Amino acid sequence: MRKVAIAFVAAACWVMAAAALEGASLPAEGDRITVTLDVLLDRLAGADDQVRAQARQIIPRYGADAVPGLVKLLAREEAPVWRTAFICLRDIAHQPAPVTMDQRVAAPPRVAVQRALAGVFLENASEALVRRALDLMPQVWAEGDDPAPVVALLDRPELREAALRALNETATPMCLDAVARFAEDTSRDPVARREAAMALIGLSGWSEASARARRLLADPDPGVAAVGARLLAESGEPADWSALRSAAGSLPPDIPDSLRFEFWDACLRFVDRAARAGGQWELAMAWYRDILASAPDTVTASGAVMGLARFGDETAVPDLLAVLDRPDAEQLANPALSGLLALRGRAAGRAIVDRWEQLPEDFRAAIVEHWGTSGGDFEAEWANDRARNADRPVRRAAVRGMVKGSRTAAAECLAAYLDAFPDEPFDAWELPLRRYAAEMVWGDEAMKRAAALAALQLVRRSKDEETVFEAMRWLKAYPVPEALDVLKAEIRSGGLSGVPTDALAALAATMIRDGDRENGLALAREALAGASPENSGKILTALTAGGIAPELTELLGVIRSWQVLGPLPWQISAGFSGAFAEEPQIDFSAEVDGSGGKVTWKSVKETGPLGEVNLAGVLGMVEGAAAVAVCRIVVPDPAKAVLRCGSDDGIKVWVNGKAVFENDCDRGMAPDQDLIPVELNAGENRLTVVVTQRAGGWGFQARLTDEQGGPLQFSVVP
Amino acid sequence: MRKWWFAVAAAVLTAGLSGWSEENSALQFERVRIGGHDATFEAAAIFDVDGDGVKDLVSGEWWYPGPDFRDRVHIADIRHVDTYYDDFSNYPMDVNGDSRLDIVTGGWWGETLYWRENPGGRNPGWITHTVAKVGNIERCLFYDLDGDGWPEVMPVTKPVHIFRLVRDAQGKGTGRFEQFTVETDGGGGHGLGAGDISGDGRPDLIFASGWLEAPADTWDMKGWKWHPEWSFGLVSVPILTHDVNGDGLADLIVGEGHGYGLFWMEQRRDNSGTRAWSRHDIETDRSQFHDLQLHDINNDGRVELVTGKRFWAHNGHDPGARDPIGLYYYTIDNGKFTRHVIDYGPPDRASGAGIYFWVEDVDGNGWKDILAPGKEGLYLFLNRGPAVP
Repeated sequence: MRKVAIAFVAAACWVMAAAALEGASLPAEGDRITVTLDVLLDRLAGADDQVRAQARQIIPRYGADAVPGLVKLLAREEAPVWRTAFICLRDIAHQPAPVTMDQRVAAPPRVAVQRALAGVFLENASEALVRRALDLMPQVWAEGDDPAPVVALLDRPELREAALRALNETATPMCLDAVARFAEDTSRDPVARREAAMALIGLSGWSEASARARRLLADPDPGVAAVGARLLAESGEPADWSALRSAAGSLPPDIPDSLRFEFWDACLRFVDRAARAGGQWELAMAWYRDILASAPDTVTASGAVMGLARFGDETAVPDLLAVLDRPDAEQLANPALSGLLALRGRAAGRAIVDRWEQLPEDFRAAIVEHWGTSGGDFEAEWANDRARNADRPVRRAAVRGMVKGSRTAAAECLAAYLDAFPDEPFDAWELPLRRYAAEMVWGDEAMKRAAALAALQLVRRSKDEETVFEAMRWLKAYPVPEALDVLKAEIRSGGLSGVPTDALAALAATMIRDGDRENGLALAREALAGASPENSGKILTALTAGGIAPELTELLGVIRSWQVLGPLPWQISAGFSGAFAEEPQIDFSAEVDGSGGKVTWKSVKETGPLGEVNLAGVLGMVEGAAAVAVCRIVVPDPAKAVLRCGSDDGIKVWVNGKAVFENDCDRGMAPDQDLIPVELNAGENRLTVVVTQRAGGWGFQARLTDEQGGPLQFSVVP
Repeated sequence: MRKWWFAVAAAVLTAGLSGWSEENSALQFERVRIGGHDATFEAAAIFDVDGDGVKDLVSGEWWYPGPDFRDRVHIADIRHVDTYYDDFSNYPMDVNGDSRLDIVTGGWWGETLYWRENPGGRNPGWITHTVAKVGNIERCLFYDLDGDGWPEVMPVTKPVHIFRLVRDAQGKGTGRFEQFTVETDGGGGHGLGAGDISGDGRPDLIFASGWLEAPADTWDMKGWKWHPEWSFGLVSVPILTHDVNGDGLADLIVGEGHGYGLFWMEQRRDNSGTRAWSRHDIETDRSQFHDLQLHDINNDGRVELVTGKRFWAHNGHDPGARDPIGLYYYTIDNGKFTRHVIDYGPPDRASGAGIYFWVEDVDGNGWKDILAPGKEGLYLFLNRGPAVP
């Protein structure tokens, strides 16, 4: 007996110890489970949140055994308690069915939860408990579980909404059928039936939906029928249209407007669904037209307008325009305009253009702005046309759209518009134009030109210094003829700084070629004045690229007539310190020893556009040689000038017998490689040049300018 | 008598209320998307792939077993370049005579005419065999040129190649094709069709710049006579031959494959028999009609023109590339084409026709369905007949 007592005490102590363990593992035997579960449930119901959290972790492991106790706790008022019980019940409902030792699958714990909740619904339970049970229902009920206990709650107004929500979310065929039966039961309160019917909306995959919707649509109560219409709208099946449309079109005159709206709204939803489903385009379009023509309210009619536009093609254009002739046009105008803007494709665009004169001016303006911004080729072309030819409001909108849409022609259109309407406030254009130019400047040649034209407008019209500075930078990056005055002013104030000289010269060349000789030459002159050798070379190259050198010969001071002697013996190691330390003897009738035999002076009058003399062509291809070239320059008065030479390879220059420059180098020739200040006497001056030849090409070029790089009055004696 | 009047009145009232009387004749299609978002091949076909007596769907790398088409079985890996696959035709043909339908195809990038050997059942191990390397293949035309009951294969290339499947005495394919090359300066290029233009009972070959008149012996490659009687651009494959206006002469129906337009060319002859052609526009503002087919799709006993846009036929660079896409059929009545829109909209919610679509009654309801592939996705349009019977 004493041993038994000791054992009993030991066992009790063990159980108490086990219960005291936090997060203890599951006991293995029945007595311990019972005791431990009760303790855990007590802990769950206690005031200590930490202890409750630990209990919540373990209780679901008891499965169905824990359900009765948890349901009791679900009724408690303390939110932490019932919420924790709720979570435990949910977890238990989701547990898989246990497998017994003999491999039999027992009923899943969900069944125990479902039965317990059904009991709650059937008992005269508190409202709070029932609501919590209803919240659990969608996670617990399975197909085949009878929803009758929940359906019975639909007669309790205070619980109806929660019960319907539970049935809707559970959405088993039995649940939905039960709800539908309730809604169809004309012996019940129409308000309750309507609420029930609404719970069937928004379900997918219920095979009975269409049939039940039709029954509800035929309900004698218009409120229930309206919900039936809404439900039927979810089918989008052509076979259902007739019933739905007939119901909407045959409503009694005394029906409230709100209900009438619901029927027509259902029609609209039906067609939207059909249109989205695809494959029945013509039907959908016909149905939209029907709704537009028949709907008693402008909200539904607006929806039909947008449906025609969203899914339609060019055939919708007449429908959209026709609403402007309706008595309710004021309400439908905006949807019609939105619809016209929403239509896509050239066919639709052409249909709108074909009816252009029918459109109100605000429509035209909105359309061209939209098309200018984001239209396709056809629409953009029309916007471009309107930006040049329309009346001011439409023209302005078209230009604005084109600027926003970064159309290449936008800047040109804007310039013309601003010129045409000098009173146009420029402030509103500044930011769009800056964005436009900033984007276009990165594009191809046409886009760069557009950026420059936009920048020109900013330079001319903006009052904001930062804007003008930025625009000037773009304009310098791509100078355009239209900006001549601005560029000249810029050159006068800051020289060539920032302006790509080749672009500037190309601009001058273009102007000359296009007939604006005076301005082109002026620009070239200003560009060349004071240019560095590198820049003036670039300018000259660009100026002559278009073959306009004859126009510029005088301006550039090109020397194109020489007497040449060579090839003469010359060694690289000697440079200009040997035979050419002094000016060579000049006797045009002499015959001298050349590097390959006797040589005589040759007259050269055919040069390149910048006076390039190809010595290899005149004297032959040699290596290790030199040539002497002489010309006579006549100036009316003593003058300080700059001789601008290029050579391949080294070059040495004498003026009137005085050495003024030498550059013993190995290089290819480019214009104006060397700038040599010289002083000329009034009358004739002798210019002597020695050009060395190491290997490869052989030649030189020279022109004479004033000290600033501008034209110098002189002539060359033949 | 009184009941009868009531019935009529009720019918009239219902029709008037519902407003759908005008569209009674419109065909209703159920649009079903096939495959996933990677089913963007441009060619498709309907045939019984696994021999189970149920029609299946084929498009590019996959085939979809009927009747529900929910599963897919791999056929072959196909070269993918930009938005294209090297697979511009999916024609079923028992090439090797094993009673299983194989697939004949070709593509632009691979420049090669292939056939893919059907392994039977749902086995994925299709083997791709090279028929010939013939240059960029815009598409293939399959047409019985010699009247033996078997279609020849003509890849759209220049020069004009005709491939004839070598068959045994029982008519079974041997897995081998004979290649013939028409010896002519004309023909070839983008746009190809076949039909009897001359009225001599022999199918001629039609191209973008003229037609080749068939000789008495189809296989006399020197006998084809070139008639440069028109000049189209990059037009459809096929160019259809059909007596559009019922005058007994074969006219042409032509789609602009890479531009705006769909038109028919009326053949006329003067008393001396000299041919003249006049163009009649069907569409001027819809583009990229790359594939055209004639089928009696509304069961009225006459053929309709079925076509649609090949979405991004040139990778988004064609005129109208960004316009909505669509799938259409046109009823033809004495030279007048009336468009019926089956599907229309932006490519994320509508379907075009691809480069090689297929028309066949796949569900056996007596109405021809349309399998429309394309870069926008693969769609099956199940024809439910007129919306209101």
